[in-house]
Amino acid sequence: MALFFALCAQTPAATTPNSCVACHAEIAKLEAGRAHAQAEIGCVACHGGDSAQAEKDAAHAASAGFSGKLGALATVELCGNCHADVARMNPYGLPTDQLAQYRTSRHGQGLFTDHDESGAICSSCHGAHGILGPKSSESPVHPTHVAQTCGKCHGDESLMTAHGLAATAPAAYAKSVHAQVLAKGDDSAPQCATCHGSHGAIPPGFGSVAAVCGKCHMREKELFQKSPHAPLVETGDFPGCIVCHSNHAIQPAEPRIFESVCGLCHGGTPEVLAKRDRIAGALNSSNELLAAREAELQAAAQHGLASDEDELFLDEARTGLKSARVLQHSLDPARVEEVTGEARGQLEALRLRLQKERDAQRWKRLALLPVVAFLILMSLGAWVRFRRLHSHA
Amino acid sequence: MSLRARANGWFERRYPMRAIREGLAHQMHKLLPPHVSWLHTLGGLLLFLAAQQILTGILLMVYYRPTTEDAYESVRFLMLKASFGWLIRGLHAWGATLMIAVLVLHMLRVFIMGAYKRPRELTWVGGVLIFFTTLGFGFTGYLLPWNQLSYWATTVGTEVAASIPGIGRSLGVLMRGGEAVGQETLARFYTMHVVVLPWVLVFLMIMHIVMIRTQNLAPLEAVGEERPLDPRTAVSFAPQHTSRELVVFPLFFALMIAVVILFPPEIGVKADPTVTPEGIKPEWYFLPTYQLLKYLPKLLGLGLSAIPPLLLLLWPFLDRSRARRPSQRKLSVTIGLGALLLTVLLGLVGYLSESEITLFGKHIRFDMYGVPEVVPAGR
Repeated sequence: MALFFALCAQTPAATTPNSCVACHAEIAKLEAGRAHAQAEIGCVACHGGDSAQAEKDAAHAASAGFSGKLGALATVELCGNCHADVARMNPYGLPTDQLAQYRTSRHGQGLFTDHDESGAICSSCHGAHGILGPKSSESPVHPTHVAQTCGKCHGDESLMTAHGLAATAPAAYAKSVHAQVLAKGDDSAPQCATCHGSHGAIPPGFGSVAAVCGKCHMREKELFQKSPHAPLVETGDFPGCIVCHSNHAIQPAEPRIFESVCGLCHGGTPEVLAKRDRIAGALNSSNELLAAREAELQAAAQHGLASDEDELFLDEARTGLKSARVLQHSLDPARVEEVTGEARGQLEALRLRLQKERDAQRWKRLALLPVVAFLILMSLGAWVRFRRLHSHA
Repeated sequence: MSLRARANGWFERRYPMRAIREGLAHQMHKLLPPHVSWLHTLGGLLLFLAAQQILTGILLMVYYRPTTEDAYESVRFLMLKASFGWLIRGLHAWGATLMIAVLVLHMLRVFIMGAYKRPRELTWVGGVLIFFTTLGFGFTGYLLPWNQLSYWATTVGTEVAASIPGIGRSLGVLMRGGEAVGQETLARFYTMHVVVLPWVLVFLMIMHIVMIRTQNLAPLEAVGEERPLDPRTAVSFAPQHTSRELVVFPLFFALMIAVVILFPPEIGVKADPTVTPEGIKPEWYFLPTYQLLKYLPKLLGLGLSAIPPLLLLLWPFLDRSRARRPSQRKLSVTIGLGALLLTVLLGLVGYLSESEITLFGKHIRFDMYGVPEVVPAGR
């Protein structure tokens, strides 16, 4: 046993003494095992100085190139020195366009053009020490933490007011359907960087909203581009997706949107509202029917009266209605009615199957009544015999 | 010599047919004490129910597949497609519940009539062991449909066993075949339910019946004051007592079928270890223990819940009085009925806990301890 453990124990490699640790033990603890420590990038690589010196003054000497805590511009340039260097990043398989992208971002423009050091720099998002790769679930730039990381500044009212921005986006996002999906553990759900970009973070332009949403909602985008609304986006008269769905506080698309939004522009055009009513009516009534069949199937399943084939009918109807919900972006009532009609057909077929099963069960049960009657008669016969025996006794 | 007589003679020389026939006739015409009544048919009814459970259990095994992937689907297939599968499962599920109910009534009859007293102490102990074995059937069988309720009730049940100090963790692993309820647990419970427990039950029942047949049913006279049975007042096993049983058995079976038709057992939703449903509760016969454990610290609760089964098992050795008539054993009967009342009360509170009911137009919510709270309208 001792030999087993002895063989497993690793001998620590000999390292160059680092006197910085003597005073900055907390930082050393943060760095241990993290990306830069693994790449053997020590304190001196970023802060200068001489880590071999035991005395603070000698270690921090200007002659040794000690720079101490870096300013915003120096930080970005320092990180860029390595992370924009293809030769240095190649062994780690890391991209090298972050600095170039950063320069194009609103954050980078503020720093490089306006010389405003209050905007986000590399360390604002990645941290200064103990940096983790974005794939690590503990990293502040992991998809599950991005909203929180961006929210540190974008939820700060005084900082945002100074930049002429609202500090409401993080709170609005937290209530959105995207945040809910992310919270359920789906890392592919959209967070800030999905729409705004990460290093090149910038608000999507007026005309590019549909393009940004369409990265994921491709079919909706395709249908929207063929709809009567599409030309208005080109002319700058219609902001696209956000009119109905808003931007950060995106809620599940529900038919109530038809009632609350369409009338804002089309209040005076009854023929457009009639079209809206046809689409909303087809979707609403189909959804109600789906909910009723789901409940019916669940009750049947509870009693073991639902088969896999019944589930298939419901799945077919669900798929049809999902596709009808996407199809509404074409604003063509006939197409929506055609697809919802097919789904309703599946739901009706399911209703008939469940009804048939219930009827069959009822008959099977009724068929047992003669058995019950026979048993009761047997019992009565035995009772008569018992009475006779009893009177004899 | 006729052919029939020659054939009988041939068998007689090879198998003691006559001795068996005479033995059976002796048992059939045995005289029973004069106080034997309808209540004494409960024992025979239990034999009938056990046979019914074994028969329907064998039929269920034809379709049931004990794997986590197939168990639920095979029960669903049985309910939906197999001819009279729903009836067989219904009889088996209701049979389990009714068997425990009849067992309790039978034990209550024996207790009140003081039939456990000398020399029938071991008959009582055997009966209590039959009761525990039947509860074991209930616990292991509950998991087999592999639905949400059965999965989580078993998780809670095995957790209780795992919290016993010292041996608890090992016991939990032994029961589950691992740290959590899964395929290993299903295989273990299935083996216990269809192989181990049936043999244990059959052995215990044979021992129980042999003891009853050799010692006869207990009279009402006090220990040591028993008088020989008077053939003029005694009841014959056959045809007098069996005619009573022939009234009860078909009527009970008709009642069972009616219950299965009116209240078919549900199959629920397939077990999902990632989703814990609300209001997980065990079967009704475990509700009193389940509720008791909620009120007490874990260790004290476990210790206290072990006392009633021990008392039940050892009662004939603790109650040394000679009287059998309940009117002469007021203390003993009061203790027994008090314990039963407390058990029923705990079970009832357990049933109501974490649920909501509407009573006289008022909406009442019960918390986990069974404390009621009137919910104001609109909430």
